[in-house]
Amino acid sequence: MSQNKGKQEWDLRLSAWFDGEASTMDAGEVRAHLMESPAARAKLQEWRSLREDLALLQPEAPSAQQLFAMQARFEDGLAEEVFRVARALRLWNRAAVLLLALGLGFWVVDRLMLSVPTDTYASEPSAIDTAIREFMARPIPQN
Amino acid sequence: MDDRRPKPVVIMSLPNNQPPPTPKVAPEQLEELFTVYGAKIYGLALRCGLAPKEAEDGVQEVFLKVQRRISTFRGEAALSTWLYQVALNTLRDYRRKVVRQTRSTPMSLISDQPADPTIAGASATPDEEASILERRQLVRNALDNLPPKFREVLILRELEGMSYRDVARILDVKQGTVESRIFRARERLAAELKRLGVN
Repeated sequence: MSQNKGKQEWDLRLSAWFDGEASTMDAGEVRAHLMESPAARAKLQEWRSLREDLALLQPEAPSAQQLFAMQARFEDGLAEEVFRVARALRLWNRAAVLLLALGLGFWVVDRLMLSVPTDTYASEPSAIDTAIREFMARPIPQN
Repeated sequence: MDDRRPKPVVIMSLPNNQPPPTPKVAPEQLEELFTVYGAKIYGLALRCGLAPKEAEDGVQEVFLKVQRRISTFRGEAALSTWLYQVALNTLRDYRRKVVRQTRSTPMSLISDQPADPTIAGASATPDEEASILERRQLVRNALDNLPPKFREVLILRELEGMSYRDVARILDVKQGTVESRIFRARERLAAELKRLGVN
């Protein structure tokens, strides 16, 4: 168990050394370990081979023409993005103004409605009302 | 002296012991950023297993995201680190989208980018070239079969040549985690290559 742990620790230190990330003191110890451990040397060989394999995936650098085309596309995209944001802002502004106008309109109408007295006739008194009123206003005959 | 080396883009200068202000970036600065880092991000997209056309689209997505998120860059890390962080996240999502759209076609089948010709060597015979291409495809498959966290550390360390510290910053993990993750990733890749019959 502790032997495994020890091996794993060495592997980690070896890996850091392989990547040039070990401290000077650590590097000395790792080198000494490599001298006496065939397993560590085999591991190192395996990683070197992996590094060579991974190097096969290094892509070709893009040509100047390709870069120019990408840059032009990016600038177009940037302009489009700026335009899109500006248009969205304009729409939001319009929506806000519209909402404000609607709110103001409702408020004005509401105020006007409140100022109308509630006990007034909605229309002129009808003819029958006038006739009844005149009849009632006639003096009562005295006999 | 190589004149083609990109000049560093200075978004802002940071006075000591002062919290960095949120930078305001003009479109021209973004275009300059693209000039400096466009090729690198394109390379990263290809290394992540995207085909050239997808890589171009991926680069486009990355820089548009940079434009939207540049206000979140606080100057605590190098701009390049921050950019790689955004790029890696965007390309990861983009790669997933491409895989979904191509209905689970393995990335290795659509990733047919030309490899660096210096790797194969100018004097390689057609047989040797075919053998190198085949091996390259198998390595690509093996890398694609790794879980993303292992694949990404290997890409950043082995193909982008980054230090453990930069890898840790980009992936937002501790340096010790990177150290052990790289070790485990190598073990997994070796096992995967063995499984695919590569010796």
